[in-house]
Amino acid sequence: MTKEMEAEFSQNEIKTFAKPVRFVKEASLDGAEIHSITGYLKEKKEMDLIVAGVDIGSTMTKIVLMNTNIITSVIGPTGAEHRQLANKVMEQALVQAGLSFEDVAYVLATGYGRINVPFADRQVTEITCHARGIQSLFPTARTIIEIGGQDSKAIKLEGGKVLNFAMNDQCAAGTGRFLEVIADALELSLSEMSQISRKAKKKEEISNICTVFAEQEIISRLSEGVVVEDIVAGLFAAISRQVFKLAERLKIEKDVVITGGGAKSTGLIKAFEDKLGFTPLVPEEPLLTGAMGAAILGREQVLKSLEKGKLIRRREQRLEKVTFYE
Amino acid sequence: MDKLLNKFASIAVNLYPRLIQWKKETGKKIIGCFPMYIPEEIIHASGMLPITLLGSDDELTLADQYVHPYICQLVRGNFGLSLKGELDFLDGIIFSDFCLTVQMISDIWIYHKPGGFYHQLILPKNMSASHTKRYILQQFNGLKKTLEKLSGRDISESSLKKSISIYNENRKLLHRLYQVRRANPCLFRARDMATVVAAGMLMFKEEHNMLLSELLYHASKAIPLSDGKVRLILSGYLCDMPELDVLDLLEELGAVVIDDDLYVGRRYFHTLTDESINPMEALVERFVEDVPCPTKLNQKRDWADYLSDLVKEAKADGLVSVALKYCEAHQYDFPVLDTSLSQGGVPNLMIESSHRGATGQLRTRIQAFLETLGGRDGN
Amino acid sequence: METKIRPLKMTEKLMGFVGKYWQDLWENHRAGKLVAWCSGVSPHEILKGFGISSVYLEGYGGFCSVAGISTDLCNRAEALGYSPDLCSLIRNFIGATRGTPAPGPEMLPFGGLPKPDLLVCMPYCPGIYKIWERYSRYLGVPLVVIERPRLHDALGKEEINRIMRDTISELQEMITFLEAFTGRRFDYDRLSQSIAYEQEASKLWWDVVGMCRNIPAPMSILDAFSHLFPFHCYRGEPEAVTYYRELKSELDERVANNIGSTIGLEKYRLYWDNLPIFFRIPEHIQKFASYGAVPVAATFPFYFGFPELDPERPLESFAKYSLFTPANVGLQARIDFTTKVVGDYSIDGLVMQRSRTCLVVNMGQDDILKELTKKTGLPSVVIEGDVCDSRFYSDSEVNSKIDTFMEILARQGQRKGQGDDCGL
Ligand code: SF4
Ligand code: SF4
Repeated sequence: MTKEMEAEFSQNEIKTFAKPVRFVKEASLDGAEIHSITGYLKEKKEMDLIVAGVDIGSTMTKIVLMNTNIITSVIGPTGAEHRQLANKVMEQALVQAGLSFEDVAYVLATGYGRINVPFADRQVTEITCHARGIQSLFPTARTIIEIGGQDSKAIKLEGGKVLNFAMNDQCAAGTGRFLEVIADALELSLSEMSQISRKAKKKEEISNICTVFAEQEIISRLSEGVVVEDIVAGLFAAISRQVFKLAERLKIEKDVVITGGGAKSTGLIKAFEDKLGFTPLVPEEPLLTGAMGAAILGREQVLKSLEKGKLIRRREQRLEKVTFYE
Repeated sequence: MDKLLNKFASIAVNLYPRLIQWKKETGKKIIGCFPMYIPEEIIHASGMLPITLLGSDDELTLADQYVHPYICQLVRGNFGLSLKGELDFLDGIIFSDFCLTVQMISDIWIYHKPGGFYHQLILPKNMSASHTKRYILQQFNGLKKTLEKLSGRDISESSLKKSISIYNENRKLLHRLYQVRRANPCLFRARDMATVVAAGMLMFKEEHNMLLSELLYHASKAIPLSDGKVRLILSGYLCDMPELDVLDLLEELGAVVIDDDLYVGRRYFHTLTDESINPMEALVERFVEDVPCPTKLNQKRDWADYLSDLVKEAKADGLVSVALKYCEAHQYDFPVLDTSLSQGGVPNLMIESSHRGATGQLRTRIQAFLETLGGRDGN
Repeated sequence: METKIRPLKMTEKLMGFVGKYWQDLWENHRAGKLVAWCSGVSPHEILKGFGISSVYLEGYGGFCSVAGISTDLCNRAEALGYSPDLCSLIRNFIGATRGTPAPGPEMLPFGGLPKPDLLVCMPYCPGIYKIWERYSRYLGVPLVVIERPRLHDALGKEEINRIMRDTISELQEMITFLEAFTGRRFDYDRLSQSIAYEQEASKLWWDVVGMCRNIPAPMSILDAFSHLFPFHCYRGEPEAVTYYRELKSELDERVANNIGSTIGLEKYRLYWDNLPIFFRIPEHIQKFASYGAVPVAATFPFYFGFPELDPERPLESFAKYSLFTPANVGLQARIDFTTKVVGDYSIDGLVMQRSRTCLVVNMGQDDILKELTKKTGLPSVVIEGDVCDSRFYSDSEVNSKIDTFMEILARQGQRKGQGDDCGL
């Protein structure tokens, strides 16, 4: 790219594109600016195409920066109160990778807060993203169970594509939040819960799936003198039962991968293992599979467009606060 | 055309004040039909205006003081309106026992609003028993008799025939409109279609026919719009008005509804009444032969088969079925529908609606479904 | 001070009685005899006339609930995509027969249900017809449907007569169908005989329930919920008569000697509205007993049996039985019936069970309660529960509600006592 071209671009309102120019503005259609990526390719090789996957959950924002490999990944708070921190996490990821926002060619957002992300080019649901992420980690996966903070999901894969999916219905049962509420009630941390559950002699039957009811039930069991480890073991069994039911709707097939925040709890994984009758696969960092999938999808999309010589629609991106759609 | 569509919408959205005004001006009687399966033609032939009670979206209704909240929004909404007195302008209400919730609510309703004019139709569930048609005919005749009493006017065979032909005309016009939509789906928004049909449920069909003809005239002249969108069939909302913001959400996410199986849609007008036979018997036939319904037993066709034919005929990419939360009838059929459609190779999404509008969860589900259909790819 | 329960001797016999029925059923099935699955108060007596054994599925749901496995079974139905809002008895049944993962016979009461040769459906709630249509296809066996139109309050005599006539003709059609199906001629004498047994058992059963009018009541009405099971099994059979005769004589003896269901004073007599919470019956009896309270009345037992059955007019009286049951009438009729029951049993307080998933009993319950309160001035408590699904039930919540309710009753009782004193 020539100096002149750079200069031309810096004048071209697209201030965020000040440094390495990646797209050439071609035309404008209904407000969205269309940029061609061809100019960019001349300059850089495929290797240098940097894409970000941003998974904005209700509590945590997960970001993966990748070219042909993962450059860096960050997990940070979405911001409980005003959910204003997602962009800060992005900044942190960039610092960690020694990049600036302008170096990132394409940003794909996913997760609960994916809708109004001023710095994303496109948004895709976490279902498609987790599926893609898991598929790259475990090509043999057929069934994915994702235990997120707000909801849990089951995804069925066929030939690497999402065949079918199920989500739990407007209820916290079988989600990360449920685990947290109960952990709070027991005054334990999540990892302590997993440890304790290993000591259980039996699983105390917890029948209630409603968070409020379950909390009450657990407290009353404690007062009846049931030991904590049995309760925790029962609790993991109850959650796995609830989520298992969801997956069963799609007919569980091997390999099964468990991901999402809930997959960090070894106690819960053990409960799933009991229920499934075999060992599920768990990614090294289950929180990141969504962001990873997003990055891969983003990359694939850019490359596909390049191949076809197609235009890519790109709005002006701003690394600003995310607003939530509610 | 937009002006015309707005007109339909304003009729459908401003449910009752317009009717109250209309009643004052014309002095005519209005009969509320609790959805569904009320043979409106008989009411029409008596000179009274049949309207369909489409409930209300109010989450908080007075109904909650009298019935627990675990019943479908249509029944809760309607009952709430009634308790508020907003249905007091009606000269009568007709219920039909096609589902448990309506069966139960009718007695509760009458208990709370005694003194009104009510008629409870008891319709059979089994469509192929030897007594089915006799049974329905008796019921329809009973209805006819009470309507004659209420209107003070005999319903002659010829007036009934005339009403039937007006209703059929209405159905034919809607069929044509739906054809135009299939050919040029981006011409209408899904919410437009719903309000066009809903408006017809709230006015004399003669008048609706005129508006429809006008709409058709404009629509047939419109230039075809290219879409590149995911083509969907929307099914469900078994006897309720679909939530307009859910319809909008589908479109926002890159889909276009090319045909439907909604109550406020094709289910309402699909089946014509046979004009060549005795009119009362023709109405019975219509009830028996109507679109497959989860509240009916032993119908000639399966709902799933009907839907998958619809998908194929309309060359749709997939089907979204929305069941109202607590709608037993639909929910008992959900798993079977899902399996049969999937086996038949029809991609489908089954969602449950609790009338909370376009929530984040709903958005994720629909968007993920569209992603599996390959929507938005390469956008 | 814990009040002790005085258990009925018949309770020990109950499981043996019921177990025998299931054993016979399985044997019949293995011997190649026909078995029918029935839903609602179906005409088991007609089936008996063809020598067909029958299972009452909602009753089986009750067994599963008592055995504490219903919630698990419901889960297995939900894994097929059935919504947890649907009737738990039906979900229980779907879970037991088609659930995923399939439950092993060892976990199901009586080893599960033998495969049917026929389905008969005459349910209280129309939602269920559809399930049966599916089952008929799935199992490849015929389905007999008999409709049960609701007798709305506003229906005129003429209309009710018409419904009666239609129901009778449906029953006749069923007979014609079964004659072709089994290749046997229908044995009308056997039907009359069956109806006669049913009538006898009904009379005994209503007597048994009526004995709780006695102060102290010889048993808790929650006990009666369990003692209903022989009724579910031995419809139109002499065994039911034997069972209820024995039960009645035990209660007669208690009444004669003024022996109550608990050791200690029967301080409060309660009315229990709606269906039982099958998986908590003993716990509830105990809980109430700890306050000296005994639930003595309910309408549910009257859903079963019909003393007006008439062996001379079997079909007609059966049609009446199935239509006029308190579960199939309008709101006003339900209010009247409940008021009558509450009036008959010297009640001190009302326990209103919600039965979350059964619309037949919980729609209109608020109005019934309001009317009862207006007419009787009795204090009441509403508890959330369900026949089968323990996820709609919370021990701690229900217990604390009962505790509070008992405090209210105690306070009112005191006030009543003081009032009397002053009057003297
Ligand atoms: S069929 Fe469903 S939506 Fe219609 S009234 Fe009954 S429960 Fe409500
Ligand atoms: S909903 Fe009620 S009446 Fe219907 S089957 Fe269930 S328990 Fe019986």
